[in-house]
Amino acid sequence: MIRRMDEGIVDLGGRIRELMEDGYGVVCMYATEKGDMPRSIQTVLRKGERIVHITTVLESDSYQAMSPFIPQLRPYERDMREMNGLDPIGLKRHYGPQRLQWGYTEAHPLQKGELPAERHNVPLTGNRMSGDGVFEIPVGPVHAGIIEPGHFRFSVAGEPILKMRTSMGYTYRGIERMAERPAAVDQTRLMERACGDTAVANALAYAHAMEGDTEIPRRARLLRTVFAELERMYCHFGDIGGIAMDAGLSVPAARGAELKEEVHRMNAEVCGHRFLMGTIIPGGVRRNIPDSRLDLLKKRMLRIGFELEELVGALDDSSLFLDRAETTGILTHENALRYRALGPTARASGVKTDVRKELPYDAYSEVGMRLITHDKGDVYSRMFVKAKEIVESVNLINQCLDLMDGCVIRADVSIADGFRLGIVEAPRGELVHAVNIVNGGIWRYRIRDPSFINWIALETALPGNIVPDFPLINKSFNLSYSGYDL
Amino acid sequence: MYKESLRNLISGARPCESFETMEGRRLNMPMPDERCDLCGICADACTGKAISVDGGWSVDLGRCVFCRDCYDACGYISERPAPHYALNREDLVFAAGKEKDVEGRLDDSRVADLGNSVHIRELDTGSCNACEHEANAMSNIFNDMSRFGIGVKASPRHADVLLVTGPMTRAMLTAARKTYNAVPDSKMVVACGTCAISGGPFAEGDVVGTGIGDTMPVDIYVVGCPPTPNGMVVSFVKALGLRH
Repeated sequence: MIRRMDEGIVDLGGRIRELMEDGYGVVCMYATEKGDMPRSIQTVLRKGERIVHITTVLESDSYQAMSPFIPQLRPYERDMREMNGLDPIGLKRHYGPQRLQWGYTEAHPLQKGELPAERHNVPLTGNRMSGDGVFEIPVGPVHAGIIEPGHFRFSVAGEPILKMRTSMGYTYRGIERMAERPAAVDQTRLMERACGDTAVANALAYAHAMEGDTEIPRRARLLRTVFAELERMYCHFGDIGGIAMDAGLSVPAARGAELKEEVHRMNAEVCGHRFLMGTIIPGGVRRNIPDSRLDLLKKRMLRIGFELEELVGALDDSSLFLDRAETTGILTHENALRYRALGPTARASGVKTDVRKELPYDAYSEVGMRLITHDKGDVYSRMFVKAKEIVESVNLINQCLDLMDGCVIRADVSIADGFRLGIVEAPRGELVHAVNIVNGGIWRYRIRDPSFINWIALETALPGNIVPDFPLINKSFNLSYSGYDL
Repeated sequence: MYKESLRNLISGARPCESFETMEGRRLNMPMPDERCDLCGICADACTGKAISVDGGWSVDLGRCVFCRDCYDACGYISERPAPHYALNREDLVFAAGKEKDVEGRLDDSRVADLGNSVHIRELDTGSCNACEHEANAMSNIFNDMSRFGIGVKASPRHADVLLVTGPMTRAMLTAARKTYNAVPDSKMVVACGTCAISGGPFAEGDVVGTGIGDTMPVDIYVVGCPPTPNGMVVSFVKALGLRH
């Protein structure tokens, strides 16, 4: 299914543009270090279920920048500079979040061999606004609420935000580097903890990458779908509750938190972990849901459906909430397409994108689902999409439970050398794990979290909004810091 | 859960769970029975290297990620309720067949100033976000930490307790030190979760030391990957001697 191509660095930009005119989008782009394999840029593009993988062998550590005429490549060019030390020539400045310790340094974290022990924090460079009455508000890395660390700078003139600059990298743990082990070692535990609330999706993408064409038992495929949807449910409940909280409505916020807790407890009951960690393994699943528990799960699904309606109804009836949520933080359709925003964020801006539909994996080809979109692209649209997606998740889980049969939940996997790809739809959007295996060892492991792209989308949605609305907008995007930093 | 909520509603109490219920809902830890012959299958299966069979079977809950791989590997291992927290790092190591109660109370001299309320500042030093989800869940209607006098403060300067999650990445070190210094004396540090206690799955990554214990003195170790919200609340209440 993956079409392979080799392209020289000179023609790479042209080729990508050609494919994009044909409707392809850049799924992932990353560089590999020299050694067992040549120094190269690997590009993956996707249109529906058609995937193109382009390998570009590099002669030097620099290349002609492509992002000035292909905006989708902006985060990737920055990433290759910071992680692999590849210099894009002719790029005036990088866009998007900057990694704290790796921006513009000599050493780069993915280089083979030892890393220097001395490390300096790099100040946020470039893209600064100045002028009469323009000042900067620094925020973070330790925030007021209980969230992950990240540093923001808002350029403001009065109340409206003119520009946001982001410094990330505070949670950089070196997961991609740690993952460079023999391919036969099971690394699900590590992958699950790349981003805690996307544990199932990360484990699934890892499993898909490792499995290749292995036939997965039917029950395992159905169970994987159930786990993935349970994860989506608690994430979206948490988001809706959080949006209500940031809009100042404590009763719906408490309801959202309650429903989230309800799903967590259901998770613990059916598979022993509140975040569903330890459920997936390459070749199948680790935890079976016994047939006796299926009915229980079904009953819970029914009730959750009713309670969700009540929660969303309470928000819809509140003019206070609509005042805050509507026309706030608009991500335009054009910008969503331009940067290839992903997941509920893109769907709220009217982009019809969902890996579950376009590239069905596991049991998604056997069950029916609706693609939820909204056309406004504001906070309310994102909440609307998430709420409707919970309903879809309930439907999907019910369908999977009806189809459940068989008793085998695991198959043997043999891992072959070469390029491996796992693409799944995480709660935040399309999640990609791309792996280069050479001589039975992982040479390069690339995790592309949906937040990697959506941070740029957030930066484009902010200008014009007032500072107090930032928490609300941020919550509606619900971006992952640990997923970006890795 | 709902039965208790309903009963609480009828009796006029708040619709949250009683302290006893919260205390009773524990994570499980592995423990072999007397048939164990120290063959080491469980230690090989353990990705976190928490289980050791050198000189007797033992499990280190500070390294355990609660993945339950060991139960799958060996039929002699069964589930036992795990403690919510411990006051010493060594107390988290459990040997086979030996029961011990590690859920002690901090010295009166440490907690005397607190009275009946404690304020928390959460500090993420590179966790995977699951601990943050659970720390947020401490305030949901089931756990309702404010009834025990526990609250979250926006600034470290107003906090008594620093709740630290994550393995202390190099990038976060400076910010973490500043936050620690900003908390007024006498402060307490809680290492929340496997990453904070021992580095967990990221011990070999781009982190400083193994766990936050190498950077700042830790008073309470909360067990779990991630710890449960009720476990965190119970830890605060019992270790700090809050009224319940």
